[in-house]
Amino acid sequence: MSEQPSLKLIRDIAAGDLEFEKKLIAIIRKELPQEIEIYNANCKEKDYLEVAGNVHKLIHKIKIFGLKNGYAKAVIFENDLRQGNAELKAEFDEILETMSIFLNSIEAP
Amino acid sequence: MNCIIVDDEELARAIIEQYAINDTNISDSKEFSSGIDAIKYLNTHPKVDLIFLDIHMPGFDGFDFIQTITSKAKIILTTSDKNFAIKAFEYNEIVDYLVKPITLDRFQKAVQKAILKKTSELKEVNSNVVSGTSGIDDLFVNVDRKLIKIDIPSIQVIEAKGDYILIKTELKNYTVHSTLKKIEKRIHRDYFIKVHRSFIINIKEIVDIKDNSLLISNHMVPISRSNKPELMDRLNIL
Repeated sequence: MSEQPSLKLIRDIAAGDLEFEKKLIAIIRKELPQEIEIYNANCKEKDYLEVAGNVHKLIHKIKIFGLKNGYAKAVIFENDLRQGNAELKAEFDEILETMSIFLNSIEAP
Repeated sequence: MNCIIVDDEELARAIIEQYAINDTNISDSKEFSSGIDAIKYLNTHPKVDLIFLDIHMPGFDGFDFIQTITSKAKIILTTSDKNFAIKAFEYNEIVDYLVKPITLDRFQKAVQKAILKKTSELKEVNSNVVSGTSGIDDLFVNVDRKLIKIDIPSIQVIEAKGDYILIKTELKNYTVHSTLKKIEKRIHRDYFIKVHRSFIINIKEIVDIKDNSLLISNHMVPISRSNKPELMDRLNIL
């Protein structure tokens, strides 16, 4: 079974403050689709330097969902993109898909 | 301490903001999603002590930001990848870097570092002030058989007049039996420059320069051709 996202880190950061925990989830719910959309648009344009920047931005959310393997893969993908190599795109897209599904499965705050 | 948070990612800003609100060392915090907006704020709010700065922002990144600001605030860099923080040690203002997602423990350590750095700098400034009062910024001149203390940075112009020199400060002028050569040895080179064989001026007091003369307060001072290149070298000309 592939690595699954978790809310553990978000809960650690919120330190029992439920309102803050909800706020963080709400922000991710708003920002993640926007960041993915920008990433997809730049992928279409094959603007790999821009895509590398988008991946870098997404790394924070990958880490906050506790996706350690996903993080390692994203760092390699970002570096590859800076060299003009997008071979890991499909694997990275899977990480994004996993995160999006997970986010949709969480009860809306 | 007053702090600002500069990051184009709302999630990152929200986490730092929450930690800042709960930190007793931080009295006020403001968020900015762009470096340009933060710079505009800093230009009108000089009392910002600490900046949490994302390195990786589109268009105008953290390092562009550092090179642009004139604020003396301490900077804590934030990044998703620590490799991007290596460059951080090239800048004196940067006290620490935080890898996202930022934990509370790490945030508090970084704030402590900023406080320590600020405190040690303040001690350094205070020790200079003590030296100043014991002599570095003071000049005693003999006027009418009295030794009168003059605060050196307050001197605007020193003019040679035969066997005397006329020391002009913002509040008062003093005529002293001495020479420009003698007084030149007693004042800081950082502040003063000889612009004519009969004039030494405080470079920080210049109002404007036109052709071969300059204006300090209401004093018009000639600039000699031989002294002009050094003067122009010392000025911060755009």
